[in-house]
Amino acid sequence: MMINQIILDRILAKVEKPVRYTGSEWNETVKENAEIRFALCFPDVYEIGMSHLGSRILYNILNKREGVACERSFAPWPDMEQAMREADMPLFSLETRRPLKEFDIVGFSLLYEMCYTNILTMLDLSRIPFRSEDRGEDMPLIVCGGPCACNPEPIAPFMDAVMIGDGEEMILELTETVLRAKKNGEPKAAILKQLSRIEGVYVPSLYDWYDDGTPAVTRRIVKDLNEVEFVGRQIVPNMSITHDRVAVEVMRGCTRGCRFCQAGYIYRPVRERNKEALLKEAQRLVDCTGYDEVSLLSLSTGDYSDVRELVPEIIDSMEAQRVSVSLPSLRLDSFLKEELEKMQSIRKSGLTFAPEAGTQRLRDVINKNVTEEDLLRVAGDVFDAGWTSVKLYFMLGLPTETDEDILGIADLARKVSAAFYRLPKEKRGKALRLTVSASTFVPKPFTAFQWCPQVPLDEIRRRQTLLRDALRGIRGVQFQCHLSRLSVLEAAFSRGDRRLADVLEKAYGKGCRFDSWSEHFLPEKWDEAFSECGLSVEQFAQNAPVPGEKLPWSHIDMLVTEQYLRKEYERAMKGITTRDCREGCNGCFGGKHADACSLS
Amino acid sequence: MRMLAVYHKAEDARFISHLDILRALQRAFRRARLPLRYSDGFNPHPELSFASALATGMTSDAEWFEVELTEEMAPEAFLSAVNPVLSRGLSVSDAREMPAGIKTLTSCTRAAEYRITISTDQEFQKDVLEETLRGLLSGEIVVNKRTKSGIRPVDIRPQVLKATVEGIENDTMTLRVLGQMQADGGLRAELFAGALLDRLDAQGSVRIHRTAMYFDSDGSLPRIPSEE
Repeated sequence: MMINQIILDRILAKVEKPVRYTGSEWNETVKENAEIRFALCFPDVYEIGMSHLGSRILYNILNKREGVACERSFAPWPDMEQAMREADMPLFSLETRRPLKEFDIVGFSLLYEMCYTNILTMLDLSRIPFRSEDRGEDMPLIVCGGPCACNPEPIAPFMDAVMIGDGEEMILELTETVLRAKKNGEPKAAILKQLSRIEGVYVPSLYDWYDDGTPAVTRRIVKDLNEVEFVGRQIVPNMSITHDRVAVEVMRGCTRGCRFCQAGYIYRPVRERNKEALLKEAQRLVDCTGYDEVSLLSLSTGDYSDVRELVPEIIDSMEAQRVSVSLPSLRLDSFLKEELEKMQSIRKSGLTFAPEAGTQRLRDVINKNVTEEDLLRVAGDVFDAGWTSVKLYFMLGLPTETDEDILGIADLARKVSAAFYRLPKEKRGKALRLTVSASTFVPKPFTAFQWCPQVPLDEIRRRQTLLRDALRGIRGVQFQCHLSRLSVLEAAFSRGDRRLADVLEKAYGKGCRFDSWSEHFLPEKWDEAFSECGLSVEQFAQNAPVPGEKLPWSHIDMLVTEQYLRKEYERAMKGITTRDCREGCNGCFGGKHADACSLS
Repeated sequence: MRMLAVYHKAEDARFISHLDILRALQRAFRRARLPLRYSDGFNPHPELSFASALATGMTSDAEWFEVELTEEMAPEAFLSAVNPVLSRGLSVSDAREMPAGIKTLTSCTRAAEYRITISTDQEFQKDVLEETLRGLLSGEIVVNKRTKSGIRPVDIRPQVLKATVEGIENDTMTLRVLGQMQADGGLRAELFAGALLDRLDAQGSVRIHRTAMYFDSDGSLPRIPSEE
């Protein structure tokens, strides 16, 4: 059964940004015939999902395989959701406009906890029961993967299988296993059993969460990124998307060891792509898309071994074709001064730096090994090169934070502002736009701070006010802070357990959708949902488990050991920093997985 | 050189906005490796301009545009480079060198022709429809038009140069409408269709396809067909 085109046309004529739902983009892959169909779903709106590099990689890998059709679907914006409900139209894929229910596998990318309600919207619109146990043989298998899958428990009851770690190889093994089993006519229970034998795949229904804590699954990694497929032919959307450019992944993983950073822990070990291959890939992508911007992605591009060759070479070759190059993740201490003016000559954009905390003491606690000197030196360089728009990113509520640390943020901002206005008028840009952004710290699983309670909401608000007042009167400064109620919910869902699946269903029933979009966030409905389940958001967000206590994610082996994280926690409390792994192994993988890292 | 051509927007592309069409063409031209002339400034972009912006939701076979190239290029070479790299629903045709003496396309547009297809909730006889259309055209056609200063009533009759019934089949009627189109404004075909529906006292869904665009210029651009 295909979607009724006439009804869809009528709906599209009245919703906002209909191009979100029409597909037909350049480089899209449409397969009319396939042995197995995989719906690659992103539980957020099109322009966010289409910006996600991981989905681009998986789309290519699946479609490269003969017999496999991978098609995209995104969360419909609330106006579309309503129109589809009124027309009784199921959610469909963009490529062949098939209802999700007709796919063999429906897979969700989990990039952010606050998109979990959208998973329910997408299942609900597809008339697929939420819970794995309620889905029979006629239903697609529902799977997920992505960084949030490292603590799968809050969504575990909805999932038939969870892919933990790098997806490139795992997703093909999963798809082929399902295909083989289907051909043999095997029932769902048998398929799930086979899936659980794939390295990195967690099947929640086969595991009792209250068990003894032996690992249920070990994170999957791709040993050599040069050996796996990348993006292939990147799709060029017919509307502006959030990151509307070619993206190449320079490396995966990061060696810095910032203690708050989940990505820094769960993408270990660091793996680099070969420089020549990167240059070729960037060129190939520019040629097949027509984009005029290339972004070099990684957690810390300045740490790439060949960065001093890669960046000038790529800028030179791209500039000749009027293609600009952006490096979104440059650390303050690795800034490449020589490249600044080159980048400036092609296109001007804002720059963001992340000192994360206002004082050296607190930066030592979080192991963010950048100094005030680093920041002021780089600020001087960029202002000198003509930049006028700079953003400084901080977190409020980090473990051990005091008012002094918060006032330190204002101090730093004052010094950066002074560095701008100290320059002679003819040497600097017209007016400074220094954005100070302060988000609320969310303790995450598999970090050194996984045992830390989040600072309560009232206290976060007091600290935001303290900072806002301290920033007043500093020339050129704009203060930006995020919805702290949302951060509390995020903390609960990142560190929560299976009971939160009930809360999610309740909240969804009360209309919660697109929670990370402030215009849709309904905090009161969330509070109701928690209390109707006999729970509170605070008991999860402010949970402070003691060492040795079983955590909701203790059964997931993420390679980095719990002992290592505990050691890092203790060093943090003493303000002792830990060296970059490139300077010597710190033993984060313990004995069992030491072989997985080339630096150990 | 200034290359003049027509782009076509079919069903698959009809919801792409004008701004996104501009971007889609720029990217396609880059994929086609055309010798594009870029603008100056901080954000250099290929120099591309349109005779008119087509409303989102409409299809067309007559979207005239020009693109500046740094080298001479044969029109056939232009078409065969661009057509294979356009996404589904878009294509180009009628390439030629821009006639001398035309400053901008927008300055010499005069009229556009539309095929309007209306599916109604009830069936009408052709003579009833023709009578209603004649009645509509015999006086002022006042519609509510959204302008900068809010919604206000406007008489669009002067902008309608010609309107005829092309056919009617069951609940679907097809009209052909020639409307003014100038730099300072022109007929909004959907408003005309709305006025007709009001007069018929019917509800319906409207599809609009631009079939031709006419110019006031010497040379090779199409001119308004004279009345027989």
